[in-house]
Amino acid sequence: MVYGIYEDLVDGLFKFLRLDGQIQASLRSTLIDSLEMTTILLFLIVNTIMLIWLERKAWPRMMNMRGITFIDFNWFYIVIGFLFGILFGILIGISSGILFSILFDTIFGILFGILFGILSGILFGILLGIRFGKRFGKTWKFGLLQNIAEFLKFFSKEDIVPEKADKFPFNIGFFAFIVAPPFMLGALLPLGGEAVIADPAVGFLLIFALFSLYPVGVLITGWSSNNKYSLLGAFRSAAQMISYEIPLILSVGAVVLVSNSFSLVDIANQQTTTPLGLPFAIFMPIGFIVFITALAAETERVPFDIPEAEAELVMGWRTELTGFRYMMSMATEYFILLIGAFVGVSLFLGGSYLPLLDKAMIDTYFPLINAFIFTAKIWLFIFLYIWIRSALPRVRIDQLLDIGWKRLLPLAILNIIIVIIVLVLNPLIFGELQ
Amino acid sequence: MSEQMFIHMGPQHPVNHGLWTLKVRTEGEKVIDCEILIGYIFRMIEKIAESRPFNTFQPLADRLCYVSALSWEASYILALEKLMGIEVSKRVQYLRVILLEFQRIASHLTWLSAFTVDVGMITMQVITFREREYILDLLEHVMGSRMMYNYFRVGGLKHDIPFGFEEDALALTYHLDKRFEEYTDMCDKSRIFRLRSKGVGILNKEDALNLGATGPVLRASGIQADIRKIEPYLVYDELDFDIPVKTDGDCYSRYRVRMEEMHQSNRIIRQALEKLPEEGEINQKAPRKLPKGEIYFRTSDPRGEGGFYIIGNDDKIPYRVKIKSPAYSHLALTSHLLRGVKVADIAPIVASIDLCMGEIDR
Repeated sequence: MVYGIYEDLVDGLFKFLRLDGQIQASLRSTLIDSLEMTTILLFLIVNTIMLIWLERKAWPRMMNMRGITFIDFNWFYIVIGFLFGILFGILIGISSGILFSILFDTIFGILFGILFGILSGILFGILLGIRFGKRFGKTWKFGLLQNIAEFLKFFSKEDIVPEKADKFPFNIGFFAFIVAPPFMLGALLPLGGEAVIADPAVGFLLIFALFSLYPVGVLITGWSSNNKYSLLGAFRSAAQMISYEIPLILSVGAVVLVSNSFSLVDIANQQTTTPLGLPFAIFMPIGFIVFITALAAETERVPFDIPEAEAELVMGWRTELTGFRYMMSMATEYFILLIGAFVGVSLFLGGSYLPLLDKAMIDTYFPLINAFIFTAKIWLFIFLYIWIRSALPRVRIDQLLDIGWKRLLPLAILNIIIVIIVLVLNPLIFGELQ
Repeated sequence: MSEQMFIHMGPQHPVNHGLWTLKVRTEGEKVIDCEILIGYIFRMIEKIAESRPFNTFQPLADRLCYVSALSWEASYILALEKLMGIEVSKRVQYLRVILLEFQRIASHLTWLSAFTVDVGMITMQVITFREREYILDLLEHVMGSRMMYNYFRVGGLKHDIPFGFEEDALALTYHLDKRFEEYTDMCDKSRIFRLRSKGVGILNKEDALNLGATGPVLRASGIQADIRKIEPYLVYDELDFDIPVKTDGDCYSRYRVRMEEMHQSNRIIRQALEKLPEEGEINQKAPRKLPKGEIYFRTSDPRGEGGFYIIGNDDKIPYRVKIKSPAYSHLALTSHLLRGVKVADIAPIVASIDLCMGEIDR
C-alpha cells in the first residue's frame, strides 16, 4: 500500500523514456525494488537515531526525576503541551495536505500530508510537554541534533587498530558479521500492511538466521582485539546468545503452530481474524513474556547486558573499538533491537492492525494509517525496553544461563503445550489460516 | 577454558572507586587469587601532621576522606580535646552530633550509589545523589563548603549555626525517610538485586574479627559493635538509637545495615534537634601547646572505626600522629573475600565494603 506511490512514480518516469518493452519491465521492477529498499533502510536508520535519541531523553528523566514510581512527573504540563501539539499538528496537517494535493494530486498524497502533519504534531506535543516540565542542556531544539553531532564526532576520531591485534579478523569480522547482517534484513521487514519487499517461504527464520551471525562477529572481534576484557566479554556474549536463541525460537514456534506460516505478513493478518481481533500476545502470554526476555538477552540490554558489564569489564567485547567502529557497534545494537521490535510486533502485537477495527476497512479507506499504527506499536515495544533499563540491575552470567535454561526453556515448551491443547479444543480462537 | 590468566583491574578501572590496582588471577569466569596494589596517591599525611602546629593540620584531616570529611575532622579534634582535657559546651556537642550524622547519611548515600551501579542499577546512582545534594546544601549553609568543611575547632566550632537551620534539618530528615522507602522499593523488592547481593562475598564472624573489620562490615557479620555505644564520645549516651546488625555477612546484609543506619541517623538527628540547648559557648579558648602525654581516640566513622593516636611533647607540634583507617583493613580483607567468586561478583563485593582511597593511601 505504502509502496504504491513508487509504482506511480516509476510509471510517470517511463512516460518520458522510450525503452524496449523487456528492458523497461526489468528496469521498472529494479527501480521499484531499490526505491522500496531505500525506504525501509531509511526508515530503519531514522528510527534507530530516534531510538537512541528517545533513550537518551527518556531514560535519564526516568532515573533523575521519578525512580520507578513516577512521583515527580508533572502531568499537568505534559497534558498542556500535548494539547498544544495536537492543535499545531492539525494545522500542519491541513496545510501540508493542501501542499501535497497540489504536488501529487492523489488521495494518497493528501492523506500522507495530513498523516505527516498529525504525526509531527503529536511528536511536537510530547516534546513540548517535556519542555514545559524540567529541562537541562540540549543540542539544537530538543537535543535532536545530538546524535548527528556524535555521528560526526565519531567519524572525526582516529580509527585505531591495536598494535598486537589480529588485524584481519579484527577488520573483517566486525564489519562482515556485526554491521552487515542487520542491513540485509531490511528487505524482509513489512512496513505496515502488506508492504514488504520480499516475503520468502522461510519468512522470519531468515531473520533469526541473520541474527545469529551477530555472536560470531562478537566472538571474532573480542578475541582478535587481544584484550582480556574483550575476550571475557566475547565469551560471555557467545554463551548468552547461544543459550537464549533456543527459547526465542521456541516461543515463536507456538505462533508458527497456530498460523501454519513463517511469513510476518500472514501472521499479522491472521491476528485480525481472532475473536475481537485481539493479538496473539493475549492468547499466549507466556510465549510473549519469553519472547521479550529472550529478545532482551539477544540484544544485550539490561538486565542481560553482561557482555558489556561496564562495572567489571570496562566496555566488554567492544573495549578496543574506537571512533567509527565503536559507533557502528552501538548503532547495530539499537538496529537489532529495532528489528526485534519489528518481529515482535508482527508476531505478537497484531502487526499494523488494531483490535476491533476491521482490516478491510483500514485497507480500503486509510491505507497509510497501517504504517502509522505499525510505527506506534514498535515505539511502544521499544519503550518497554527503555523502562526496563531504568528499573533493573544486571544479572550474573551463571544466573543468566540458569534463567535461560531452567526457566525460559521450560516456559517456552509449556507455552507450546498449552497452545496445542487450546488449538485442539477450539482452533477458531487463533483466527483463520491465511 | 582451564588456562589461567591475570586481569589487571586498575589503577583506573570502574571496579575500584579510587586509585588502586586489583590484580586478579582468573580461570575462565572464576577468580583463583588476587593481589592488591596501593600507593598511587600517598601524600605523607602523617608526616605532615608531625611537622606543623596541630591546628594547621586540621584542613588536611578533612582531606583524608573526600566522602566523609567531617567525621575525620571530628576524630582529630576530639582526640586533641581529650589530650588537652577540654570539655566543650553541650550545645556544641549536640551540634557536632547533628552534623556528623548528616555526614554519615551523605557518606552512606554515596556508597549506595556506588554499590548499586556496580550491581548494574544505574537509576539508583542518580537518585541517591539527588538526596545527597540536599544534605550537602544544608551543610554548605552551615559551614560554607560542600566537601572540605574545616568547621570544628579545638574548643568548639568555627561559628554558630545560621538562622533557620533547625527547621531545615528537621524537614530534611522526614524527607529523607520518605526517600529511603523509595530506595527499598527499588532495591529490596527487585528480585535481580537480591540475586546479585544475597550470598555474595560472605564474611563470617571469625574472619571478620580476625581480619580487623569494623563498622558496618563487622555489624553485617553478626557482631553488634559500635563505638557510639561502647565508648560514647559526644552526647551519644544521652540519645536513644539502635545499632542494626545482620548475621549473614554477605553484600545484602552490608546493604541492609547501612540502610538501617541511615534511618537511625535520622532518629539521632531528630532527638538531638529536640534536645539542642539554646545557649552555650560556641568557641572557647584552647591552649596553644599540646601537653605531654599520649592519646588514642576512636570514633565511629561511616566506614568503621577511625582513630587518631597523638603524642604531645609540650609543644605546638605533635611528636607523633598515627591514623587508624577502617578502610585500610577492609581493603586488606577484600582479597580474602574475592577468592573463588565469579568475575562479575568482584564489583559488588569491592563496592559493598565501601573503600575510600584517601584514607588508605594517606
